[in-house]
Amino acid sequence: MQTAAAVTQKKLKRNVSLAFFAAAVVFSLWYINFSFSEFIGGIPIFMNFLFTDFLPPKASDLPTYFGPVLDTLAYGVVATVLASVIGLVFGFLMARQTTPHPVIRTVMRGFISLLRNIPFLVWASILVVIFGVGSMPGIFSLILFGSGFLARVYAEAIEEIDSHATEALDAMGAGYLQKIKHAIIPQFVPGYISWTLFMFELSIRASAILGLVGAGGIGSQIKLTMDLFQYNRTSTVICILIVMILVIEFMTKRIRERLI
Amino acid sequence: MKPMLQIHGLKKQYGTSTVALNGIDLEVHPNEFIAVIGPSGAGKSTLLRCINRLIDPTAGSIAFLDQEIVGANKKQLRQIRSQIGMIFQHYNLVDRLSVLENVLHGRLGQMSAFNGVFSRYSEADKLQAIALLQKLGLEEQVYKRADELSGGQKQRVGICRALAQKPELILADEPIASLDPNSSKVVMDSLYANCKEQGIACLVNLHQVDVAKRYATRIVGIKSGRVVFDGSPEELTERMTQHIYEGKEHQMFQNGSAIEQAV
Repeated sequence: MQTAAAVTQKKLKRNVSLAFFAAAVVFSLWYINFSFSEFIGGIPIFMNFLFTDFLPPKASDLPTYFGPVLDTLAYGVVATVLASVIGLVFGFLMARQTTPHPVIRTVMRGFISLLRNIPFLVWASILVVIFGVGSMPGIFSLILFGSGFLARVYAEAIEEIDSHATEALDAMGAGYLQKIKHAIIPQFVPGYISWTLFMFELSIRASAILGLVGAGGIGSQIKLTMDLFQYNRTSTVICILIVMILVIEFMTKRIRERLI
Repeated sequence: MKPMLQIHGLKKQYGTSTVALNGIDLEVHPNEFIAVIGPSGAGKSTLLRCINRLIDPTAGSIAFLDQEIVGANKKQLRQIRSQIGMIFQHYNLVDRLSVLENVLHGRLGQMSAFNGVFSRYSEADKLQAIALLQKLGLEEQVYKRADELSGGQKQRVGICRALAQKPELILADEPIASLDPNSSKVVMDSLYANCKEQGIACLVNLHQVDVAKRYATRIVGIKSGRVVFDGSPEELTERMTQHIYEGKEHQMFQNGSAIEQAV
């Protein structure tokens, strides 16, 4: 049972928290000179831009985007496959049951979290400086980010595997590699497929952003058309991107359902 | 007859205070079917897991066919484990693999790492696995996925997997604790018949006294990490049983008396 004093203290704590939160909001609004009137006033301009410049999408030059779409899909496939291979190696080194040594696990976790916590846009910006504008820095940054991401989620999927089957194989004298092959991998397959498909989706979405730093694919068409003030073409590209993402989402969902 | 398994002064302590096993002495002879009884928490499961070192004992010695288990290195341990089958309360099958593959896993301990990893089971092993499954009435289930089976069927697959090892000894840890009375009877009958037929010694953890009395050639009673009874089923008196289960009497008959009805 709570005493009256405890209840009052709880209330006080809550009120102090709320006051802090309100203060933080007010300070931030003041600090960045946030102007509501500008925000509201901008809406008609935005609408005007949207309906006169942006819409309707210019459908006549759809065929010209066939190349960039194919590029994006191909980048996605290459990046996903390579990231999945690298992620698999690191994932097995990082998961508790499969790591050869706890020290390796800790070192790998640190390294992977570094890789993963640098956003791929930052990777892309750095790699564009190194490799120059083109498709390679885009793919490389996806691979770097994706390897880290997949290593982490693969390792978690492995650690979530029920330990019963591994215990049984232990009890009958199976060795390290035999246990991985016969007890860990079969149970890891659903997680592996799910996360790898998700990585493919991510890489297609990412291509829109990667284009902005000149890293190739359909995204670079957004930047190109906007730089040329051909906004109705930009809207075409955006429509293509949305359709592409929806189709891939639908397909990966179907594959997941069938395989698991 | 010379004992195949000799346990001396076996102790297991968790942390600084929890004593699971407090000096167990036990000898197992070939062909014996021993039921280890006792209330939950008495140390039955720890005892079985110390024998194949799924749990490392704190002190004591275990000799299996003249090989010392407690001090064995990794390679020796694998070799020893391959001669000891184990059956689990929760079956411990790989759910996403076929029944046949699960049974073939029993062969892994006796295969090279390379052959094991690439599932290069010999033709004889495959035929033996199928023969075992037929013998235990699972011929319809050979190619099904393990997670499609009922509990009783899963446990029979577990028995097949243990038998596939061609073991000298089988450790069964509460094999029927998760099963209904009918399945329990089928599982105990299969385990008993196959061990007798192939001359395999068997240690079964049970908490149902009447099931133990039905099947065992010898009963070992464990209480608070010590052996308090070791003798034939006839020697296990009502008084002794009550002593073993003192304070936990309700555990003595859980679904065990139902087996009688299912006969």
